[in-house]
Amino acid sequence: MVTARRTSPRASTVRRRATSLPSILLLASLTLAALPAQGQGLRYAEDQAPGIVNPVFTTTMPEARLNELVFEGLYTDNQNLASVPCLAESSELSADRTALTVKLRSDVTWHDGTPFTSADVVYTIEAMKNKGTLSTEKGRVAWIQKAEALDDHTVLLQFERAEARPEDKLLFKVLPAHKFSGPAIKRTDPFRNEPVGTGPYRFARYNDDNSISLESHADHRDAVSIHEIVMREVSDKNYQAKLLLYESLEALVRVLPRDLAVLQNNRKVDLYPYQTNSWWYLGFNLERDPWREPAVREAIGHLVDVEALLAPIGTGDTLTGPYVKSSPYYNHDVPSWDYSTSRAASLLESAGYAQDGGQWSRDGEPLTLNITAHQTLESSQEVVINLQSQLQSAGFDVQVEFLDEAAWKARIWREHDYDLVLSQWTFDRNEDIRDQFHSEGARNFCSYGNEQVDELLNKARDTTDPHEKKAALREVHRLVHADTPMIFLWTLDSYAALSTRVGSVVIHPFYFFTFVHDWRME
Amino acid sequence: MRTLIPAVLVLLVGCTSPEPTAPTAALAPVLNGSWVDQIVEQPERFSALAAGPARDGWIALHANDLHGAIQGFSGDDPESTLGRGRAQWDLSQLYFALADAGDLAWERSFATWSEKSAIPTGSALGYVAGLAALEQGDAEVAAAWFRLCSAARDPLVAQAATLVAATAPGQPISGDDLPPLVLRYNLHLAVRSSGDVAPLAMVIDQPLIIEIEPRPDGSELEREFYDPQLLRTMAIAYGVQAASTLGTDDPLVALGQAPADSLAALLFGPVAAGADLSAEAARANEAPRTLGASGPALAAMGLDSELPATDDADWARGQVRQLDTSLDAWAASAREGASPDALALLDELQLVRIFRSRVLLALGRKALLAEHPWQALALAQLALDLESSRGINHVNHPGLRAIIIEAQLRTGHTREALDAIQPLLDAYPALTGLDEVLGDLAILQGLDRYGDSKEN
Repeated sequence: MVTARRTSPRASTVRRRATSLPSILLLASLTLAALPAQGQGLRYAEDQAPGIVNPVFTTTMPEARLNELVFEGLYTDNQNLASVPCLAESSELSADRTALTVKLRSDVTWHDGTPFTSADVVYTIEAMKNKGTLSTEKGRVAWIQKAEALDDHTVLLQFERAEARPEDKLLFKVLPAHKFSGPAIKRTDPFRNEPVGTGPYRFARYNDDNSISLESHADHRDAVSIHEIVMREVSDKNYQAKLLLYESLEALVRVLPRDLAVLQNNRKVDLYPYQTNSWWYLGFNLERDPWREPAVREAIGHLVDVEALLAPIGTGDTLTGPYVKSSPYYNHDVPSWDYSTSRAASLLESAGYAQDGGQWSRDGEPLTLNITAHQTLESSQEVVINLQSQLQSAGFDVQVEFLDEAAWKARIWREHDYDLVLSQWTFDRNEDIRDQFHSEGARNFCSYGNEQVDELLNKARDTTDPHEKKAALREVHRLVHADTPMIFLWTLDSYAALSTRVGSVVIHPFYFFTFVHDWRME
Repeated sequence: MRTLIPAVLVLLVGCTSPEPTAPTAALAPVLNGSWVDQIVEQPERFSALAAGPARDGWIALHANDLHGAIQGFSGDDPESTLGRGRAQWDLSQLYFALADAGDLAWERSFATWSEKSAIPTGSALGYVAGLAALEQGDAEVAAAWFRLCSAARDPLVAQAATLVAATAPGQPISGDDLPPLVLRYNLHLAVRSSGDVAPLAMVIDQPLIIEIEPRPDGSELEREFYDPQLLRTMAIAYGVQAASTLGTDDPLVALGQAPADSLAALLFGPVAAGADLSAEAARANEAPRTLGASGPALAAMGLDSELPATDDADWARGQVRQLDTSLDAWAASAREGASPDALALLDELQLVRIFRSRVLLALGRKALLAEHPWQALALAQLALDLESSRGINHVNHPGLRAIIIEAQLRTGHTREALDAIQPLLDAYPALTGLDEVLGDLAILQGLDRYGDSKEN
């Protein structure tokens, strides 16, 4: 029996086919509702509007991209991906490398006109370190023992241990101290709806269609040539390319693989490849039975035909571990789980399951797989439909549900209320999986724990020897594959698409908008 | 002849989408007289080529399978000889491009290692770094690295470093009981001289040195160092092969001397017509790798003959748009009078896309040699067929990836350079070493950074 708790993907597909006229009207309305009008600004599409605009609580790429427009760090990347001063003007490292004196720019104001000072830097660091701030971003400042304002524009940072190039770690976004009332920052602070940064764009308004309008920050030291940017929520990714072609958008941050050909052949659109450090996975909740049993997880691994799931949604590489194949940490000696019903049956039987009438059960309880996916994860409905079909054929009761952003954060991140999740992780060029797989990792909502993996992740974090780091993380790949807290699926190519009216475009491989102040529009 | 066309199309598999068409034919003459035009005008000439003794070679060359093309053009007939020489020369230029990227990767990797981490005591790293510096002609830096090897755990490494450091570049080292590393050094010189790459076949994807290093915690770390001489040796060797095949010291000059209407000299290449080939061959010694980047046909298509002074990627995108406009117009015009056979070849073999891709490859190489990596990157990325973006096919010449690798490296995007290597590794196992050293560099560059990750 296959049921769906919320929006069944099958029902969704049927509805889409049966309501082509409303779809056309929706497309027309999206086109007409475009803000700003053509020529006045840049409109880009996100699958879902950010759930929260506060860098301390950022968990998704749409949020990270928006942060990049609104907020700034002491340092930032230049186009060659080297750290250069941003809110900092200069810095001086102590002889023993355990302290850094940072001189701040004196010409910076927050979007509300308040001057930016060292108090903002100190507050941000202390608030992020505060135990009352329930942030997954704490690691960004954990290496700083103490922050002290020496004067309005000088900050002394003292470290837990000697640092070789501390400015490389000072890219976290600085928050305005005057907008918060306590030492800790809470998700529910009013700031989330009235964010104030120092970045090149300030929040102008939330619009009725869930879009967010940003206007250039008049007092910003770098004049921008694009004066308005609108983040438009276009939850049906199938429409995003059409809106770009109809000139109702100027940018897509991520193009569906199936749209690449049509966009590549369109003379009014330029494609920009950028980061590819993203991978899809099917993650088990290791706090729950039967998913805490390795044999059951491995059995599922043998019953998922990954190639068949990937084929309908695009070209990509299937994976055996938590890195993409071009990563220096990818362990190419780890074989993929072969698709094998007999091996799966053997594993399930060893775990006490038996097949009755084609259905796997134990102690009279059928083995039910509840698969939860984010409703805006591109192509997730197609993947889940096919996965459902594969596992149903293998003798499981399969239920699926799709969650919106708020429900996802509550159910998956905070409450760990799920069996299996289908999702995707995106990494910057460091590909640091510590948060996902260390037993104390801030993003380890699968509750995975392996002492050997912890030790190797610690070693990888602490060493400065590239060979040692590579060896440690390739071993992590092997161990994580063997433990199967997740079934690693694939990575897809990432392309952004921009109207040819937008020029001087350089895209940051992770944060996307880092160099937006150089972009221009005809 | 009609019956031959479908058979030829079956052989040249993998191309199914029709060519994009354009609404205007304003710039129609741009490709008249070109190899694409010759096929449209006289499809039987192509069919004769594809049905001849060089058939397998043309199939491979169409697919940008350069090693396969050398094998496929194994005959002694004039077309096979010309095709084989072209494939060898193309492969040589590809390896030169990869060797240039390798030079940069090895240099930056060791320099960054020195800056950010301790050079491991007793390691053979200094020997490999010294060889890498020698490849770039920097004897002084090489000598400094070789001196580090006096403390190498393996005495044979120290001996090899001493011998290489004491020998003039390009000269073989003689003597009895030479250490294996010196034998490899001599082997490179021999291969570069003879053009015979077979002696390297067994070690092409293997580390030059594997060392076991005892660690302070009692564990052991296995280090692998790859051969920084390999890519340039391959480049030189295939150049020697091309010269031998074409019977000249300068393969480009030999190609330029082919008859103006020689389809075999031009087919699937970046040079539109015989006149362009002659013009470009005349400046062969200036920049052989940019063949196709400055012929008269490009000027007729409205492309700039010179690069701008600044490395402006928008200029590159503008050039691509101009090229597309011209090719679209020509294709629309050509289709009007084309025979069904010609149309079938034009569409199924995607001849215009191939020509476009090869021109952009040449322009990208030109930009890279002018130290304009952002332009090179844009040109190469816009040339790729994204529907098969993870592989080599008739559009995705491996040289495009070579451009992307070096351009990404030059713009600080080391991790992205690794992405560009991946599609080449199966066909070019000699790149294993570059892949590993780029990985080391990416790790070193990120050592002091906080790794960020997000969902979706």
